[in-house]
Amino acid sequence: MANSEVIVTVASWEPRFWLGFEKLVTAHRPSEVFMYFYAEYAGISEENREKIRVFCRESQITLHENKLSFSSPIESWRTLYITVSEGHMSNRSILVDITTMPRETIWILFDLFDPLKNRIRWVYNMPERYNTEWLSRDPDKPRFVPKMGGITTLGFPTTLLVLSGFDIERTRQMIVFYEPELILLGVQSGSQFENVSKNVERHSREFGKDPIVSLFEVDAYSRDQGLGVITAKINEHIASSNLVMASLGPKPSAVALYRIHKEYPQTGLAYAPSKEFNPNYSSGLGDCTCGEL
Amino acid sequence: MIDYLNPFEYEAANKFKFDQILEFYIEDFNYSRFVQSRRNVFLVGERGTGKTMTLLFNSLPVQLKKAENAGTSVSLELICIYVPCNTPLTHKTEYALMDEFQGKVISEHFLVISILFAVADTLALVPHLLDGADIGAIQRELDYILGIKLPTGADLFEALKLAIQKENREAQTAINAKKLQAFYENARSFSTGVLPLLSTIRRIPKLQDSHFVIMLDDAHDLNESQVRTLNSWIAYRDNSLFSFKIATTKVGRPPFLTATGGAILEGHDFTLVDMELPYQNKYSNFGKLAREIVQKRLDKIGVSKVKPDQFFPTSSEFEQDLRACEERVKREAEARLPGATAKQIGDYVYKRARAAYFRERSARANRPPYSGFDTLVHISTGVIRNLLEPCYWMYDKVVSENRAKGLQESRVVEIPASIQTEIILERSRKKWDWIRDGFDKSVDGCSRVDADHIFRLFDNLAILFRERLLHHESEPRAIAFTISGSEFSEHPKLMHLLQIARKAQILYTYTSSAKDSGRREVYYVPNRILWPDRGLDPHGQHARVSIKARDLWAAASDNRKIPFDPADKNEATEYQEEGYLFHG
Repeated sequence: MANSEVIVTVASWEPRFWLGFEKLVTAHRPSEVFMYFYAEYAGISEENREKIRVFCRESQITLHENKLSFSSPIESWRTLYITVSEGHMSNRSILVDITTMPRETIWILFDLFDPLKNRIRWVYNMPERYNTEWLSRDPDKPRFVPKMGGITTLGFPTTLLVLSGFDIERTRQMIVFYEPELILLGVQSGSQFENVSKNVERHSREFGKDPIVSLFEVDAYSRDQGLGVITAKINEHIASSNLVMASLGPKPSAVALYRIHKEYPQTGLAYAPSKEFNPNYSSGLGDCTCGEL
Repeated sequence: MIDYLNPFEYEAANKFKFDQILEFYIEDFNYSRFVQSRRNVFLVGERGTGKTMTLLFNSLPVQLKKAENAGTSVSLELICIYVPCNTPLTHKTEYALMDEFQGKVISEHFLVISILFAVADTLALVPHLLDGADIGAIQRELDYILGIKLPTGADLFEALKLAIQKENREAQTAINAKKLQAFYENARSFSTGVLPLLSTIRRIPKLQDSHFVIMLDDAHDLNESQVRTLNSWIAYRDNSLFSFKIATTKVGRPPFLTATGGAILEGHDFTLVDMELPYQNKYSNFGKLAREIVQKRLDKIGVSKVKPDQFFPTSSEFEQDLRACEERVKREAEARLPGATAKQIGDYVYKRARAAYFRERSARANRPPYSGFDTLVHISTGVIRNLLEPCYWMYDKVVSENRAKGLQESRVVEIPASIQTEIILERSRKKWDWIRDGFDKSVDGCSRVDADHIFRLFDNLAILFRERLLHHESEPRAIAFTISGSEFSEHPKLMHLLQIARKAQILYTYTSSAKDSGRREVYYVPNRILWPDRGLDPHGQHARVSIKARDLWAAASDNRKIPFDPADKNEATEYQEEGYLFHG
């Protein structure tokens, strides 16, 4: 028996998208699913999307499928705004599957859901493993998420908070673009997915000696997604600088940054899109982590 | 602000303290005095060419500090106001959600409000500025014309800053509203913001004859609408009250179009200053500038009696070998050119002696020693940051080694040639590694395919320049090129690659006059830090290789070698009036 819960997701070609979705729907039995997909990857996500269509049809779940685009963030914002405002989501529990959802989309959706005062939960499915050669490339310019660029104080210096991932060049790109006076570089702790050699050691080696960089460890897989550690780190800078925040590391860290932005609307959320993702980005379905906003 | 650690710090100038700007800035040899004029001026150059440093040095706060240090007062005839554009406010995206008109209005508002704040922030620093001023009348005028009610109890300009901050917050809060068409109704324009403010503050007796220089840094970060609006302001030709000085990159430089679809013209509406200096020999403007920059940095660490050439000595082994080559080539010239003048012999030696050195070494496996201040200047390719970066790492290396030996940092009085070579080769190798593995991950708009093409293109250029160094008869050290045959069908694809390479600063361009016809021609100069890793001579010579667009594209797309003819005479040399070229 379906309940009135809504699942919101972004389709991907990765196996964990379909495997995770199947588990979620079986467990939650939603009445509606909002599945967005990115035009740039419509071709390779089609197989998984067709599985979802068939599954929803057979399970009598209403499916809304909408197209977004990495290259048109403004049009994507409009699409998200319209589908949320016309989606009759008030008074319904919303489950956001952030597994393969770009951070920009996560933040826009959380922001649009906020006035609904609903129960908003999120879930993230790790893969069994990531591709060891490369994950993403061909970066586009970093950009602020529409409506979430913060409230800039004139004359303040820029502080950049980056939660790093495996790709050191993405971190460097953020630094070059925003030219901050201070960089708070949060590096994911733990040894999962060769994190120590691919993330911790590389970022420490590259940025550790830079006098404007303050390195710290954070655990996006902890109960608060690292919120406490990050908040303590930004506290002394929030009243005296324009804080720009970016999450390039584990996806749940985007939840922590959203919470900080909500608490401090003057902070800006920045996103660095990639124009190319590895078709073999990840394999299998790993552990699941979830929470409530 | 960063702590002072290494004299060759090459951080962005906007991270320097005022005293550091005063210590490090060189006023000569770089056209920067154009800033102190009433004309509109564009300073154009890639990152690290000194644009920000130039603007900041001329800004009133730094000039006030300079006057304070000298125990003098500053003239208020020309008031330079620094307005950074690379701020989170400029990068806001909400304007794009509005209709076109509203988007333009809010974009102009944020630019205007940034200038207003910078004016108030700058003037708030001037001591005794309001002596003799009728503050009440000024406040009434601000209220009447600008509609700004100043908070009471604060100094005029501090109060103005608070009022502007309030407007700024209100506008951002309004457009951040979760609505499809969120807009701010009280937006300001240039004529309802900047003009009335500047006119009103001229009522202050000390400012009644002042000219305001609005210096916009990183203007390439403005959105398209802001650029057009700014150009419209530049087209406003009465420069008695204000002028603009605009710093921007060459690649992605904003177009010179106005909000109404017109265009602003160089020479007529503005003067353009190219901050990248094309010649790096010691007699060129950049050579002299580089020497002064490094000397100032050496003064900072208390070795002012040591000259840059002494601090960065050339390997004695290299000098000895080079001298031997020069002697031998000179004898060869005298034998081959009987009756030649001293200048002709000098030309012959200049063109061939260094090449002879590299030719003789070519059989050996190891790289030649890359050292000496002159080499560092050539490696910089005319960009100050490129000059300071290897110096920074060399200094760091010597300090580390001294500390390991228990010595003090102050004992650094020279960078041994061996360490110079080590760092230059390391930086060179890293640059190649970056092109090969990191381009598509870090350069906007560069796909994996583009990155592969660019690597192959530069790899084949290195092969061509190496072949020339070893075998070309008359211009063996040419390491710049021009492109011929632009009617080639894949030309746009080639230009796309070159544009990415320029954006990544592995390639620089200059325009110069062609030898034959006098027409202007684009010279492409790969970043010379690339060449040590390939055993090339970064000194180069004043010559360029003319390469067909078709051949460059084949090198990039199919990894085909660029054709080389050792007797090719199709190279034009280019000599500028600024440099003494034949120092053989």
